[in-house]
Amino acid sequence: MKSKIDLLILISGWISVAIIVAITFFLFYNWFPLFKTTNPIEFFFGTLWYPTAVPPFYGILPLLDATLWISTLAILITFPSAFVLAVFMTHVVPKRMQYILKVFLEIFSSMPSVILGLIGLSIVAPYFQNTLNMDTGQNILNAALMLSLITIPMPTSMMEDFINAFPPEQKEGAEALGANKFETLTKVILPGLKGPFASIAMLSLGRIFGETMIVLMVAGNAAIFPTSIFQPARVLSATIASEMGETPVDTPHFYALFGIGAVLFILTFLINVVGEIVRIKYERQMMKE
Amino acid sequence: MDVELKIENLSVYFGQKQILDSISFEIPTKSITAIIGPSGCGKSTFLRTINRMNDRFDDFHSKGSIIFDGKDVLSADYPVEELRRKIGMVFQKPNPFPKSIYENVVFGLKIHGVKERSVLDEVVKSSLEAASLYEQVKDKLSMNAYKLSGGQQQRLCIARALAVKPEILLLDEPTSAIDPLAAKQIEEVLEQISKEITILIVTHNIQQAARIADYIAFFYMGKLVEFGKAEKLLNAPDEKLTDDYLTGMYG
Repeated sequence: MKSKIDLLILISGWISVAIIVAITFFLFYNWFPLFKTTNPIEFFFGTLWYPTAVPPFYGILPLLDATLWISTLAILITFPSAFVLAVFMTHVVPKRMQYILKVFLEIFSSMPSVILGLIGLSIVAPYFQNTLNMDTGQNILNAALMLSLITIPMPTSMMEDFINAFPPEQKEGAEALGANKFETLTKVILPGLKGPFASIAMLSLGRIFGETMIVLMVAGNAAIFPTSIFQPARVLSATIASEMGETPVDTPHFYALFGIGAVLFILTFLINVVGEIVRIKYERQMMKE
Repeated sequence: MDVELKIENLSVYFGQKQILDSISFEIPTKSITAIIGPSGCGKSTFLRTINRMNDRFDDFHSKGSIIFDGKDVLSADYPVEELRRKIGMVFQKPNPFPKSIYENVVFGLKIHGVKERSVLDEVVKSSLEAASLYEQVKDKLSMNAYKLSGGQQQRLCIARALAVKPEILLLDEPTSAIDPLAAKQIEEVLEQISKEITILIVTHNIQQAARIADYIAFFYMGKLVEFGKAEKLLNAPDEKLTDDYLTGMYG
């Protein structure tokens, strides 16, 4: 006999699964009509994104390229920063300070990204342009920096939790052999956390990939192939956000934007799957068999 | 008898709560001293105070002193890493690192800066031999230590502690989490190594204390009730409390 609460939980569980399946279906359903007018090869490997030109070009390669540039740079900033912060919180500051920092971290992570976009636009961009003499302040570096700032709290908080929850008997084992706090961290805790940290990196990357507002505001929005981090760029997510409002329904352009959405969805999905595989691989390595 | 550790008026607190009350006794060198007593009598806390493992608790503080090599190990300026190299510890639950058998044994040496491969190899062999594990694992030193049985893991932990050549080895109920046969092997190992180093073992098992201990300290409610030669304390204790515990009146 199931109680009403069990039933309620069961129903809401299935509803959320159904919604995810429906969204996926909806994305692909609105993407595929594009291929009546556009060759798939042109969509995936075309080097021009000029959806409003005559004839239009729907090549997402420059957008994909820009996404990779910005995401790579952002994760290269995010992961080490989060790591240093997590070590700082768990191993340097006193316990009470750790709690206070944690609260700040949580507040920071719930900050709307548009605020960071605003800072990127109004403070960082002019600084880049006027003080550092870049051609434009709205560029890949600016976007990656702002993206990192909005992302860092999540991996930091997760790493901190993992370090704190590390089995105390392992820590004591190392300390009882004369290891100090940092030797215990580098020789026992971190090797033991490779798996979780790998999946934290992947989760952060997934989040960076999907973050739209910041890149839309500060990346400069030029659908070109960038050759340096000081150039403007336009990423997949920002393209949808900036063009969808002006695109007539059921046109090739409309379908192409859904295609971008589907590509983003697939990429994020793959990143999460890879993260999960890495985590399981390390976990197996750690365990008995 | 030579004295290895001199406990003087040791009281220990967690916050407001007093765990140990004015403990004083002298632990003889190169022998096995067993600490017995009912659960919650403070025997584990006592052991963990000696190598300062309790330092990591914010509300821990102590009074009195533990004199080792003429110095008080509880004084704030005693280098705790150095102390733990000289006073090793084996825990209740086997806690090898998720690394190879070899890496487990050399862990302490590497921490203390020994890098020479030949030295490390030699120490791995001698430490594993001392823990009578060498014959079983000599062909698979690169195997993950987690694949060993519980008893083997505990002997590996003993080997790991012995590798840094401690003067004292503290053991906190080392056989309570493993089967009786494996426990017997560990007792034999302890008797062997007590010829070279001082052993202090906490046990809730009176038979175990009777089998291996040269000296016994009986703790009750944070106080040292009685300390003496094992045979004397087991057969003709001075205190009625000790006698009651040994005959199973409580505990």
